[in-house]
Formats: sequence, C-alpha cells, structure tokens
Amino acid sequence: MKVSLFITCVGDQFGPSAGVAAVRLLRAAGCEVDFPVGQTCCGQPAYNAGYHDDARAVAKHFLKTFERSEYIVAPSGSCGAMVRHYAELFRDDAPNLRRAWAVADRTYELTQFLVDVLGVERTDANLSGLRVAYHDSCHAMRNLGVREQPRALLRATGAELVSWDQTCCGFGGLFSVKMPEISSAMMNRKLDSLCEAGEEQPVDILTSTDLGCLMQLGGGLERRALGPRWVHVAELLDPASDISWELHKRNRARALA
Amino acid sequence: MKLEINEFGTASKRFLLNQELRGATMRGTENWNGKRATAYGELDDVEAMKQYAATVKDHTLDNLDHYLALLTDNIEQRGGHVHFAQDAHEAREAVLAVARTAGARRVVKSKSMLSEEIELNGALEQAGLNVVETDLGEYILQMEGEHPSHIVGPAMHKPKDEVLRLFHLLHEMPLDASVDQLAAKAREVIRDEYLTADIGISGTNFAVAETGSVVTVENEGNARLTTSVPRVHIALMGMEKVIPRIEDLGVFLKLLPRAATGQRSTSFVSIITGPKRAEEPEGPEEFHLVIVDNGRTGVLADPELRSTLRCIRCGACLNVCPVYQQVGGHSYGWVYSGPIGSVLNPALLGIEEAKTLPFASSLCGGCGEVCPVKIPLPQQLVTLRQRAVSHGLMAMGEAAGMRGFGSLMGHPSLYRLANAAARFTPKKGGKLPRLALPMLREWQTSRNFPAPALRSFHDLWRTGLDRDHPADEEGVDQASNDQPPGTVREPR
Repeated sequence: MKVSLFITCVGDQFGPSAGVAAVRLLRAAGCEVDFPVGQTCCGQPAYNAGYHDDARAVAKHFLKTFERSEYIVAPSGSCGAMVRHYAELFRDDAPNLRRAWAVADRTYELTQFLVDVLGVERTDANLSGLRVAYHDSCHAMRNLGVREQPRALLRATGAELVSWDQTCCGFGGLFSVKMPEISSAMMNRKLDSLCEAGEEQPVDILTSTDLGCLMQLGGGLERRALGPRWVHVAELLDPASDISWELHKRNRARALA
Repeated sequence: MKLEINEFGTASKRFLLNQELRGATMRGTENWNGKRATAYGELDDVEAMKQYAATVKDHTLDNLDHYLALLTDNIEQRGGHVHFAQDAHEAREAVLAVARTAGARRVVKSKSMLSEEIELNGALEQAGLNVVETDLGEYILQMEGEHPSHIVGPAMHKPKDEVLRLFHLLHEMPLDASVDQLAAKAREVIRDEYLTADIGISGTNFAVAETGSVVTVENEGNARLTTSVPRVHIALMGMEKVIPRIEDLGVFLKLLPRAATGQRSTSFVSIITGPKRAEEPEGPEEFHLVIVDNGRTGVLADPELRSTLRCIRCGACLNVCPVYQQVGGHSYGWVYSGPIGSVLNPALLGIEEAKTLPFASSLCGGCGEVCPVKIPLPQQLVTLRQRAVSHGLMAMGEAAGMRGFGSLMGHPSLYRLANAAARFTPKKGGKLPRLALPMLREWQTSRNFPAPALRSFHDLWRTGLDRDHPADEEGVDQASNDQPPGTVREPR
C-alpha cells in the first residue's frame, strides 16, 4: 500500500522526530511511504482566523501536492481534519470542490490509519510499567472520530493509561496568542489535573496525536518543576525512537539490578 | 443592558483574576456536564432524537409565517391576545400598554432571557411598576443589581458565601444557613408577591401552533404561579420559539431538561392555552403573548447563521465550553453568553457590535457535540470570524501577516527558504529564548515555546529517510548502544 506522509508545518519544524517515527511505523506495517517534497501546510491558521482567501491559496497548493496520493497520512488529527474543511472553502467552486472531497476521503490521522485502514493491533514498542497520560486532541476526537485507536495501540505496548481531565488544552492555534490569559487558564486546568493524577504514582509520559496540543501542554509543563515528559504518540509507539530506546534501557537496568 | 461586548478582553481578564467567581462557575458547569452526560446516555439513540428536533425546528423556520399565523389564530380563538414587536422598544411598549390598560401596580416575573434582551425590568420600573423576580437565581441577581451570567442558572457565578451575606442583610438569615433554608426563605418572601401582583410575566420555552399553547419548563414552580395567580398573564416569546404540533413537544421535553441540567424531566412543565375559561375555577382573566423579532428576521435570512434560531436555550454549550468555564457569562458583555452567545449576539446585533466574541473560542467543538438541536456552532464561529475579516474589523498587521502566511505556504520555494532560515533561530536548551519573537511574548509568559528542530523533516527526508531501509539512515551508528536507530531528537 502506498502512503504519502503529510508531515504538517508544525511537525516539520518542531517535531520531525514524530515524522520519522511515523515513517517507521507505516513501513513496519508494510506500507511504501513517500513524501511529496512540495508540501507545506494545510492552511488551518488562516482558515480558523477567518482569512479564507489566504486559506484557499494554501488549500489549492495542498490539493495539487497530494492529489495523486493513494492515502495521505498526517501525524496530526487537527491538520487531517482541516483537509475535511476544504469543502467549505470551495463550496462555490465545483471543480475544486470535487478535488477537495476526493482528497479528504483519503486523508487520515496516523493512529486512525494504522488501526482503521491497516488493521494494526499492536506495534513492537514495549512500554510495560509506564504510566501514560493520553490527551485527546479536540479535532482528532470530534472531527475525525479518533478516540479509541491511539488508546488501543498504547495499551498494547503494556502502558497504563491514567485518567485525567478530558477538556481542550487551550491551544487553538492563534487563539493561544490572541487570548493568552484564557488559553493559559485552560492549560493550567489540564496541568493541575495531570499533577493530581501523578500524586500517588508519578505519570511518566504525556502524549497526544497532535503536536499543537503538546507544544501548549508541554511548554507549560516545562515551567513546572516536576512533571512527566511529553512526546508525540508516534514516537511512543515506534520501538526505534529514542524515547522507546530510553525506556527499554531503563527497564533492562531495572531487571539487572 | 449596556453593550460591552467588545470589552470581552478586559472583562475576561478581570474574571480570570477572581478565584471565587471562577470556582463557582467551574463547579456549576461541571456539575451539569456530568449530569448531562448521564442523562443523554440513558436515551436509546440521542443522535436520532437531536436530528428529529433539529428537523422540526428547521421545518418551522422554513414556514415561520404560517406557524406564527396559526399560533395567533388559535390563541385569539381562546380569547387571548397576540402582539407582534419588531424590536425591543416595541416589545417594551406592548407590555407597558397592557399594564396601563389593566391599571397594574405590581408585577411578578418568572425567568425570561428575552426580557433581559429587551431590557424590560428597567422600563417597567420607570413606569412606576413594582417588579419582583420569582426565580431564586433571578431574585438574588435582582437584589444585587446584577444580570444573569448563564441562560439556565442565572446566578451561576455567585459563590454561596455571597448569597448567604445577601440573605443575612435582607432577611436576617444566619450566615451558616443551608441552601434549603435559603430557598425556603425566598419562597416565603416571594409567595406573598404572587398574591398581590396584578400581572405575571413569563418567558416561553415553546409555543405550540396547532393548539395555541405556550409552554414553560422549570423546577421551582415559580413560573406556574406567575402564569396562574395574577389577574393578567403576559408571555414573552422570541418568534423562533414556535413548534407545529403538540406531538412535537415530546422530543423537546425529553431533550431540554437532559441537555440543560441532566434531568429526565423538570419538576414543572406548564402548558398554557389562553386565559381562564368560564368553566375553570381559577387562572388569569387576560392572556397576552408578545412575539418578538428584534433582529431574528435578519438571522432567518442568513443561510449560514439561520440554524442558530433552532436554539432552545438549554445552556449545554455554555457548560461544556472550556472558555466559558474560565471567563463566566458576564465577560461576553450581552444577554447571551458562551458559544451560542458568541454566535447569536453578533447575529442579532451585527458583527461590528460583537467582533471579538467569535474569536473567544479554541474551536474545540464541544458546543457542537452537546447541542440538542445540532446547531453547527464551531462552523458558525469560523463563519463570523471570516465576516469580521472581510468587514475589515481586524488589526492591520494581522491581515498582512496572513497574506504573508498564504504566500509562504502556497509556494514551496518560499517555504524552502523559510525552512533554511528557521535553522538559524536562536535557541536555549531546546526552547526559544524569551523575547525572540514579539508575537510570542504573551505565549511565553506562561509557557515555553520550542525552538525549531536542528533539522526539519524535509531535511531529514532528503538526507536518507527517503530510502526504505532504516539502516541506511544517515548519521546513525547501529552498533552504538547509547543511540537508538534514527535519532533525530535534540536533547531538551
């Protein structure tokens, strides 16, 4: 099966390791992965901010770049969901609307693609003994229906999923810059809950399908003296990523001691 | 109510600093969120029910003239009176005219957000009438001189201590009184008001066209008393509140209490059809229905916002909204708050009057998910943002920035240049140093912002990742025990 990776602009610049992990996960599941090098962004920042002409320009470029792809997979639910909004951008433009629908139908978030399309039940990562806080990206959950897929894959690694606050992280793209006080209040509500979840037994890792949420929550977490590390879910699931490697070493050292 | 919608920024910051109000709002909304989830869960197919309710509302909106005429005919046949009011002024005048004709001096009121919208209380008081709010929350707010902060729980933001202080001052209640004691006291005080009032003014949850009935849904019994004890009953209704048939009411009576407070049913549902009939021993002698437009026709003619008129004012979108939970209802600056307010206020008043509200959302989508009549609120927020932009209401710098973004992301050659430039961003231990980018200054007051990775994914792909065998990946010593294969992560 041929899969085109859409790394997303945030992933490209701030989380390339998540992309590397995604490539390895897809290859391990038997996919042939390509990376259309003309790719940039999905256009969501302009769309959500109300600049729909600018969003359309980016969307057209996206369609051109990925039109020939059999499947398009992104390590992000939010950017994947944005591709589904293209229909709204092109509702008065029939030819582009058809292209938008066709591309949207083939676009998936990574864990959604692994579980729903490829039927993957587990990866080779071994995270037994690890307490993981999984954060639902709102767009992954509500616009793409990604809820159980990442959880199932995480549980299959032997990790324990902790229960904590389920609300939005407060990122919201430009919202986090336009209304920073509200955005931070939303973030702190989550982080307080995360700390509470780790009171009896520490939480080791905070993870999500989306780097936007993780930059927000992780950026706030780093300001607190204690707290779990944060990492994209692809890296947790990929046995060859450095985080998995570290955990592997830690478990081995524990076994030797 | 003074229009302070475009003060959302300052008002919300002020609210954020008040831990007591925030705490009360968070507790109140979370309580109802939990109960709503359970109550929705009990229904066999809640999505089908929501869809049915939305379809009934859409059908009615598509034939609104017909159903309003039918409603009017049926009310008049029962001896009631119907008044149409184009705006808030006409609505106030309609109520005042009834009061004048009746020679009224005392008015009791049950909860009505529409009465807030048309600023009725002030007008009644100015005309020399004595007005008493009979809903406990509204009563508290009236005593405090405040406006509702929530569609369903108007005093949602009030911490218990403040209410205790108020009842201590007004009614000499002990400062450690229980909620039940307070409610009993309020009931005792307000009960006398019903008996002396000339007019009872109520809101309308639904109006049934085929029977000419208005329906109120409540828990305290105050709406039933307001609509049945005084000699004259005036019901206020937004023109979108009509539904065709009595059998359509069932689905709404199932959805509304579940969505609002997580109840299977409220304690009281009153279906009122005209004034007291000859064979009935009691009830008001006069019944008036004031049907208010006040901007709704404009919303009806707006294909993108029209479905906002499906709203049954359950408040579920307020409870679930993580922004509302942090900033409370007053920050929104007008009658309606939360996601529905962020759409309805600009829809009714014009985007210029409420340009900040559509941006008061992280677009998490919770509102759209819980809405019992499937109003696509997140989509409408984006639509209104787009209108704010096209009306030129945004800061100049932002529009220029977005044009730059569009060009950058629309042209891979420019993106490649920016990608190369990003590699020279100053960094400090994996994060961006403070003040590196002015637009991120606010972000960095509470959060770190990561520095761009040493090498972007584009760079990594070009230099080895494109090949199908991980062993080919560049710069990885497979023999080393300390490096995982394919390391690209920077040390934090």
